[in-house]
Amino acid sequence: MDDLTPEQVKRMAAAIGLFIADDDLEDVTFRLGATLEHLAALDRLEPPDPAPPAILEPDGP
Amino acid sequence: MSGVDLALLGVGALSDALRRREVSSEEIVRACLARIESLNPKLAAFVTVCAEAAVRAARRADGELARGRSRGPLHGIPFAVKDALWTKGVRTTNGSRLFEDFVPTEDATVVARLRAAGAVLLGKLNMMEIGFGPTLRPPFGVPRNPWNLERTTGGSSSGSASAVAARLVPLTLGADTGGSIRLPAALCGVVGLKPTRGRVSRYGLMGICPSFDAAGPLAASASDCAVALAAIAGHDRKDPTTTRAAVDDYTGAIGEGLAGVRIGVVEELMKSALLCPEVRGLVANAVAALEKAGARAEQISIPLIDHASAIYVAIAEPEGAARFRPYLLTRPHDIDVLPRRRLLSASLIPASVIPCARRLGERLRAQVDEALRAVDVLVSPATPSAAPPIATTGRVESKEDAWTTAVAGRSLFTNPFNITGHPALTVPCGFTAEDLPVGLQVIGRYYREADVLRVAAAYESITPWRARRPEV
Repeated sequence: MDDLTPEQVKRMAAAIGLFIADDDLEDVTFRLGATLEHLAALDRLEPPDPAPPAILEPDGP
Repeated sequence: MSGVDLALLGVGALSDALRRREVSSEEIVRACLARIESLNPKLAAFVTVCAEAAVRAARRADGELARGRSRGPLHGIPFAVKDALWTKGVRTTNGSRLFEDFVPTEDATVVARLRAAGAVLLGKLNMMEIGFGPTLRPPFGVPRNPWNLERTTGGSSSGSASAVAARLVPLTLGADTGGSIRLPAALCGVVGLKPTRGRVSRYGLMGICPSFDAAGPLAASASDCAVALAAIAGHDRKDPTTTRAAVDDYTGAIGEGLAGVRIGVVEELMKSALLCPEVRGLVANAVAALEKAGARAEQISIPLIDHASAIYVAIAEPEGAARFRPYLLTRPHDIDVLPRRRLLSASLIPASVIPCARRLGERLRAQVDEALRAVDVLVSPATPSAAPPIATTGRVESKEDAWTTAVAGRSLFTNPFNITGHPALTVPCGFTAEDLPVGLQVIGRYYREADVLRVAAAYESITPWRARRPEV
């Protein structure tokens, strides 16, 4: 996984209405990068559920 | 009681003295208030002291005793609570400027239950801001560890642990989402219990993460925690997540000893690369002492526990971020720099990780349940090290540093049991070369707090640690 850049993190935050001050940006980037890296390992332990989504029949069975 | 500093006694001894009419509740409360006045400026354990109300409540308790009415072992006993628990008419800050003017109109259920049991509220205790990790500049003072004022208390129930350790009050309540009762209890050398999920009401707890939040007691001994748990446990119609399962006789379990008790030492936690060798040695000594007293110990593997911190972060961090998003949007600079950065980072964790983390959390619970079919309790270190120095910068230097120091490292031994919901307690198990306390974590089956209290009390009885007190 490529490391996130501070600019990417700032844009991600802006997309959900949050502002990250320059003083906080490097720290938040390190924290988020570390978190995403460790969370990616969870996908390898528990692959996404392969079951297909349930078919909804609007008129019922 | 001549010649005895009442504030130094535990709940059991004070309760016995009250029952024998050797002392009054007002005398105990005044002794605690004097100690708070003398030591709180150094420790910053209390945010609010309810001196006048406490003396009035103590007089009422004394009046009832004089009329022959006792509400039980907590009648007339002082207590204090983490400032995340609502207290009717008493400011409840959640350790933050965001809530500095918040005065609840009712008590949290746990506070109401202690009052109904006759206990006397002395005040509110300092904590890490909003319970969300270290705080660089706490708005109500820097909590200091009574064993060494330059060391952290841990948290987030910082004052709940330091106030008991320094004998400012014999009983406190804290809250634990990833270890916030057990971590400070271990670092301050007291007993702290996170009950089973659903065992104790969370109504009126200003929590972080509804999936994992728990309220529980801290005291100088396991038996004092047992008395408190008996008062606060049980179904609460105001908290639909509480169980209707019967409340055990916790105090009755104390003193049953260790003969035949099977103990599983969690292999992965003892082998953790982040565990300081001195702590590993003290925990190994504790296991040897338990075996010598009649328990049977074996190594137990819980493979998924190595991934518990990631599972915890995937669930708890987004919940915390969602809870405090309105404040992050409108008053970010009223939040200390460290929790603010943690909230910002947590806000950017994709929701897509949560289902996978929840499934893994269920698998982890199944593994812990399986381990607890082979043994009665599990044990592990409570913290990776003894109390570190109080942080002065909190700066994260790299991505690697971020995970171990800022995101998940501190709670890696405690957060697995918030994920799984099992009851877990920490009891002092020795001191480092720097004279700092270390905690042994004891984990039990669902709703079997009696087992962890029994083992902890038996351990206390065969070791000298409980008798040691810090010179503040």
